[in-house]
Amino acid sequence: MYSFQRGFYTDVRIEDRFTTRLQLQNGQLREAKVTAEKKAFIRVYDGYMWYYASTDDVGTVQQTIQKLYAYAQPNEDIENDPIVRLYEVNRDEKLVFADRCVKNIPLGDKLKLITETDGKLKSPLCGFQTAQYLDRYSLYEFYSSKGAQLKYDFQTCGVAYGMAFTRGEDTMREQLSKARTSFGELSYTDEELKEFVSRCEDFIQNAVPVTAGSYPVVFAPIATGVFAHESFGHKSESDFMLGDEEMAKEWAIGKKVASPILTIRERGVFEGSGYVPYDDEGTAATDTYLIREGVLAGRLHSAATAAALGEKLTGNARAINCDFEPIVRMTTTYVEAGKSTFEELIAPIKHGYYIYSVKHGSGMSTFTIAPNIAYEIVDGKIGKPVKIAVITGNVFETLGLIDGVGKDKEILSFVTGGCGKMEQFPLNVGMGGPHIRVSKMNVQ
Amino acid sequence: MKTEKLVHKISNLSLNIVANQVESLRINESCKNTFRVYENGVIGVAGSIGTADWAALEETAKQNLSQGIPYPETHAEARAIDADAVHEIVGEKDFIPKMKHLLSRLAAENPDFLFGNKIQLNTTDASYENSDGERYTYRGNHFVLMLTIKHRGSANIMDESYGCESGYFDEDEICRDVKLECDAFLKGLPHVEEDEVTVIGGLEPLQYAASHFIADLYFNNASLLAGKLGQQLFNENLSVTVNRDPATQLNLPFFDAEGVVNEKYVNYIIKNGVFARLLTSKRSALQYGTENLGCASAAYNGVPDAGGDGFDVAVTAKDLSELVHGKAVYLSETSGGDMTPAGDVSLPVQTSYLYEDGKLVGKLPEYALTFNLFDALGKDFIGVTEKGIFSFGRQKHLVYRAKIVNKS
Repeated sequence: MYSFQRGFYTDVRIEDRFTTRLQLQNGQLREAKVTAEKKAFIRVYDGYMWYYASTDDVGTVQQTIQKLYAYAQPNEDIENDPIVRLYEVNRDEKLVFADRCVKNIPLGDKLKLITETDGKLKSPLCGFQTAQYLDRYSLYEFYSSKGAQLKYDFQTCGVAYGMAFTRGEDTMREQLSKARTSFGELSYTDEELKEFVSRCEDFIQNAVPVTAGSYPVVFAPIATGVFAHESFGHKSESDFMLGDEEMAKEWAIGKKVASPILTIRERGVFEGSGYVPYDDEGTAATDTYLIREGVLAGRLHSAATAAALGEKLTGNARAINCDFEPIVRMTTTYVEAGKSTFEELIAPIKHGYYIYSVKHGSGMSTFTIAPNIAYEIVDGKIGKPVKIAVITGNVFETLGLIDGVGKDKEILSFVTGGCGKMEQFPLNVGMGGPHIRVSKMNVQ
Repeated sequence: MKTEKLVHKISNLSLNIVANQVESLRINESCKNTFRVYENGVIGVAGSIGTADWAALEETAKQNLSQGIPYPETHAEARAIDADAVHEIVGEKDFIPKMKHLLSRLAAENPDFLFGNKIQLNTTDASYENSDGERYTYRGNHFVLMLTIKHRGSANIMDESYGCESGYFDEDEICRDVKLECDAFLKGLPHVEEDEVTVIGGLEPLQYAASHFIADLYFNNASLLAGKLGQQLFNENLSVTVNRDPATQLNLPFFDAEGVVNEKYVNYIIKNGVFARLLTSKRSALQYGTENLGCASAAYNGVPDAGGDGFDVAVTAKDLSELVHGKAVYLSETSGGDMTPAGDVSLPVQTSYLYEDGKLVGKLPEYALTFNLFDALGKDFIGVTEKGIFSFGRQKHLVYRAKIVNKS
């Protein structure tokens, strides 16, 4: 396919990406965008430094490879470089979505879907609403100088209905969204739409402020997913350990890091927004336990980090598109199911909070979730809706304070937003888990 | 019928830094082309990447008029402006050796820390023209330093950062700044005793307010500011603008995505505390009968909408000494804050420093700041300076009073 020069490791990633974005605002069409982009990202490694280039003209890939060779220094021993040795040589064609490709759904059908649903979402307290349809079909090719040759696809499609509710001086915005891999699975029942509007109306009319303090908190599966991703997922991305020998000791596999009822897994095999059958270095998806029954069990790798730490590849080298190089990222990260029902989780709580939906989350040393809709828990029962700006907790303390895990695990996909790391945002990921209970978090 | 053509070329040299070393060089060059047609109250858009086939784009844009996306057709007088805002920063050939030298100095001067992330040289070449005879071209560039700083042995992904944009490169200034920050990090302090403090921050309160200035939200009663346009809502010393002045802004075209050029390149959202204008595109300005701010943004193949490029706050003081008397906290790393429906903000602070007598004294433990949006920009607003703690590049600081909670 391409002519690779001796003395270098080279790989070429090509993505042919099709996307649709339709947007209504207060019932009026605002955007109807269909995009088809084919780009390539080329990497050359000489054992000392990497050289990257992207091109939006895939006919010039060979010239771009030659241009990068001119920057690098030939290395006759490159095949024995620890990073190069690790690269898998997979040859595969895995086209999972070709027979239900969103490219083949007429634009009119996509528009009809959101127009009809948007028309059913009505509230006297809402003056502003949006409806979006988004899809993506990507056909990837990957070639390496070691002989890897891959062709695989990825697909998501989804709808997102946003409503802004106002009462007096208060405003709140909430989104009802669904992401799937087949267009036919994107509709809502009338009951689901009514329940969404009714819950938002109840919140804007009845939500009360909280008294800032430390309380037990129960997370809905979406909040659990954000927790798994932000609190520990990012810390499992091993590129932050490079060059810091003390970190390898601090993060030794087998160390107790969480409550013994907590297990967090990372897998790229689920169909959905975190589906990554091969990463952007051509490594096949794996099943990685990050925490297993409270014990540090694994971490996420690119070839560079796996080589540096003497561990196995995990299939987590990813880029948001062909403008960027792959770095260590998550795919689908989730908390494994436990044994409790939701009622059992809230039953022992005298005064705490239930986080039903989430605007965003983040995690450095402190883990933060900004809830959208939340409720107080009083004497083991769900009470009034409450206005919470953020809930926070020290990551390591919070991991140890999980004292209840539900048996109702959900793996969630997303069609808006995504994961951000340094300059690369948004990356499609999945996350999820069951309801969980944390015995103590700061609520503000 | 009115037509518009836009070209946006970007050239980017990016070094990835891992544990004080240059790990990679990335070369990106891209060109995005846009053709828009306005006719009978609707818009048709077509876009491409790479070399443009303008005849094909025009044909596609005209076909896309049938999508029926409402958009007003506006006209302007013919004029042409060309701006060359290219700075002498670092030659391409010198880029890697100079950055390697910088990193070796940073590592030697701060042996307890590991530096990572990106150093970039970016160039933009943009043009806009329309069938009314408006023709604008812009060329600019900037140097971007985005260093993550990790204390060796820390369990955190990063403990600190040093980031800024500039139109020049000065190794001595950068090294001095980073050393100030790293030295202060190593001096651990107890919490400040006060429950309310002077905060030297970035533009955090404005970031929470930003979406509430969007015209579509404002006129549909979905903004905290609804019904308050023209009122003195904020401190009389606070002015917030969209600033696209090529003399002061780095690597930002002086025209927005619809070819709007403001007088002296600046327009006011808040002027001396008065809520003056909303974030608009030409469409939303005409739809709601309000003045267009000139802040439209658009994907190369998308319909323009109100955006936030050039969001800026006017300086009120020549340096921090005019704003801070006594103690203050300097916010370095904050993450994950948000606001309640009533405008009450909670902002978790991971890394901050005590600032006293014009210098960073030491690192404070973690806590959270709370403030009401209108108070932080109103009675508790102190001022803005771009001569703050550090020397290199442009780093504006907003100074205000806020409460400290959750002292760990």
